[in-house]
Amino acid sequence: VSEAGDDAEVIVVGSGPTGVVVARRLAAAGVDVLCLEQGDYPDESVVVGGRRDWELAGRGPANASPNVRRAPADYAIEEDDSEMKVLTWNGVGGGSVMWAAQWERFLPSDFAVRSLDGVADDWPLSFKELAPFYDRLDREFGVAARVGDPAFPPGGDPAHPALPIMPVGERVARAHNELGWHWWPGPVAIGAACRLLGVCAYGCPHGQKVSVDATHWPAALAAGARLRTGARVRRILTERDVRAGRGVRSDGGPGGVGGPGGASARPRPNRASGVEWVDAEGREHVSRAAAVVLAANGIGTARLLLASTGPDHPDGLGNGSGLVGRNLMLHPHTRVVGLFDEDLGTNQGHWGQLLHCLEFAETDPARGFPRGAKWNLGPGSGSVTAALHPWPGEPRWGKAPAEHAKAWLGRSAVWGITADDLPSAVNRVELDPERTDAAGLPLPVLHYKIPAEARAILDFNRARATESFEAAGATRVLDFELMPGFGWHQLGTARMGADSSTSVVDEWSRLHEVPNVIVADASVFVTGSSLNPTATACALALRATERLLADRAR
Amino acid sequence: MTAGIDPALVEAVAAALVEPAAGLPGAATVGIVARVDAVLADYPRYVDPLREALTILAAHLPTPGSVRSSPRIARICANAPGRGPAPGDLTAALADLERSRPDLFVPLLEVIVGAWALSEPAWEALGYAGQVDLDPADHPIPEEIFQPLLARGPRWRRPPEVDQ
Repeated sequence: VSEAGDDAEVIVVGSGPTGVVVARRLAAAGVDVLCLEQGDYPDESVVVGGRRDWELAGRGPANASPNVRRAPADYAIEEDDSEMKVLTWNGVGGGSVMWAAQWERFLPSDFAVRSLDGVADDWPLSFKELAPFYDRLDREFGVAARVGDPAFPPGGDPAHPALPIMPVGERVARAHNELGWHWWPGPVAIGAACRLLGVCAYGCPHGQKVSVDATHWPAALAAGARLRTGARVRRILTERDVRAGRGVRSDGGPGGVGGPGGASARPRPNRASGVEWVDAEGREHVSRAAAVVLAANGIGTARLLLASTGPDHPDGLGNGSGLVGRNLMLHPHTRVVGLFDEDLGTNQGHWGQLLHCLEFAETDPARGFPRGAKWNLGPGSGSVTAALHPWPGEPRWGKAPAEHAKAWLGRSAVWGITADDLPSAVNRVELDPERTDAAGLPLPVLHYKIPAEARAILDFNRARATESFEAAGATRVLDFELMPGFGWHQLGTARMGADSSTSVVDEWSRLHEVPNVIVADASVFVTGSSLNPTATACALALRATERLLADRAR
Repeated sequence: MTAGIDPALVEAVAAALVEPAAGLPGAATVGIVARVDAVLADYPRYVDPLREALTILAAHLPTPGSVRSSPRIARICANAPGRGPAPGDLTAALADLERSRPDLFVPLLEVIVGAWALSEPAWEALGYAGQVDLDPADHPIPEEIFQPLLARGPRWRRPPEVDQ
C-alpha cells in the first residue's frame, strides 16, 4: 500500500546524472517530482579517494562491478554470454559516484551514421539540435574544458578552463604534433579547485569531481524534488492495471503532464499510471503519477520495461517492436600503457583524461572498417595498483611486485581506447526466466558479442596508440586486444527513432506506445559513438524534460 | 592476528610473494604480519580466502636449509606445529595455487602485495609520499603547443543537416 505523499506528478526511476537532470529541472518548474532510487547515498566504504588504501578499497566495497561488489542495492547481472562485463553503481548518484567525469559531446557524424557511412541508422535528431542542451549542461555540471577543439564544431560553454595536462600529457601532445595527430585537453566535469590527486574514480576528497549525489541532488531537493532511497521499482503500471484492480486510482493519478492519454482502442496499453515498488524492508508500494521517467541505465531500464508485463502486453511495456533490450552496445575497450624511464609524476593529475585524441574517431574508408575510436590519456596509479598490475602474461609475484612498483609508479601513462560498437539486435538484455532479486524482479541476462568492426577498430587503434607512446619517448609499451572488464557504458536497449516498428522511443525519448513514459538514459542511443555517453544522455534527458514541460503548459 | 590465521604462515608466504628487487625491500622486512592484519580488519572479505589459501600452502613451507628460506622463516617453519619434513617447495605450491585456484590466489596476492605496497619502507624506497595536493596554477599548459594542431584546421565531418 502506498504511503501518503508517495504519489507524484512525475516519478523518476533512478537518481544518477540523467535522473537528477530531469528531477531538478522539473522541480524548478514547479512540478511535483518523486525520484525512486533502489540504493542509498554512498558512504565511506565507497567514497575512498582520501584514504591511504584507496586502491585496495577499489577492489572490494568500492569495486565498480556489481557482481563483485554485491552490495545490498546491487542486483546480479548474468554475464556469462557477454564479452564485456558491466560496471555501474546502484545508489544515489548512480554511475557518477565512480566515474572519472569524462564529459564528452558526440561528434556531428555520430548522429548521421547511415547517411555518412552507410551502416546502422541515423538518429532522428542532429548534433545541432542537441548543442544548446550540451551548452546548458556544461555550466550545470561545472565542466572544465578548453574551447576550440578542432574535432568539434565551434561552440561550448565550459564553466572552467581546462585542467592541467601534466608533464606526461605535454609529452604526448608534443609527440602528436610531430605525428600530425589530434589531441586536446580532455573535457571533464571537475571543478577548478581540483588538486590533481589522481583518485577521481574513488571519490574526490575535495569535492571537485561531479558526483551528483553531492553536487546536484542538494539543489534538486532544495527546489522541491523528493528522493526516496531503498526503493526498487518492480513494475510500471498502466491504466489497464488500474482497471484490473492493481491498486492504482482509476483516474490515472493527478494528471497534468505526459503524452496523450485516455481510453484507447489499441490492443496494447498506451498510458502509464504509476509504478509498483518495494522498499528496503520488503514492503510493497504503489505510487501513482501522470508520467514516469526511466533513468536506470541501459540494463536497468530495459529490465524494468521487459518486466512490466500484463495480459495485453506479455512481452513488456512499450515493446510492440520487440526491440526493448535489443541493440545493446557496451563500448568495447582496451588499454595501451606507456612506461617511461623518467619519473614524470604520472600518479598525479585528474584521473579520467588529461588529453583526448579523436584522430581516429571518424570513419576513414582506407582503414577497411567503418567508425572509429576515442582515446583518453589517463595518469598511472598509486603504489598498490603499480605493484599488483596484472598485465596479461607477466609474472605477478616473486620479484614482480617490487619491479612493477618501481617501473610503474610515476612512470606509466595509459591510453584508454573506446570503440564505437554498432548496434546489433542479437546483442541484448533479457530477463532470467527463473532467478529474481530480493524484490522479485527477474535478473537481467546479457548476450553480447563484440562486433567484428569493433574488434578491427581496437586492433587498429592500439597499434596507433603504441606509436603515440613510442613517439613520446616511452621505453616500453604494453597493450592487449581487449579489456573485457570495462563495460562502463550500457547503450541502445530502447533505441530512438521515428518509426515505431524499428524503434522503442520517439525523438523526444517517449515510448512510442506509451508516451507518458520517458526514457532518460543512454538506452535511447541509436548508435554508440566512441565518446563517453553521459553528456549526451543528459542532454537528451534535458531536451525531453523541456518537451514534457511544454506539453504540460499546453 | 586475525582469528584462525597463522602469522608464521603469513610471513613465510609473503616473503615468497614479494621478494626484494629493484632497490625495494621484500615483504619479509617490512613487518608484513601486522600490516596484513590491518588490511584484514578493514577488508574482512579477504579473511576466508586467505585462510583457505594458507591452509593449502602450509604443507609446502620450506624446511630449514632450503634454498629459498631466510633464517627467520626457517626458524618459523621449524617451530610451526604439526608440520613434518615437508615437500618444501613453496614456490611450486604458489604457482600451482595461482593456476588452479585463482579464487584463492588473487585475494591472497591482493592482501599481501597490497599490505606491502602501503608500507612506509616500500614508499620510502620508491620515493613516494602518497597522493598529494598539487596546485593547478603550477602546471600551466604551454600555449605554443596548440599551434601545430590548430594549424591543421577542423577535423570533424559535416553531416548534411549541420550548417555550422
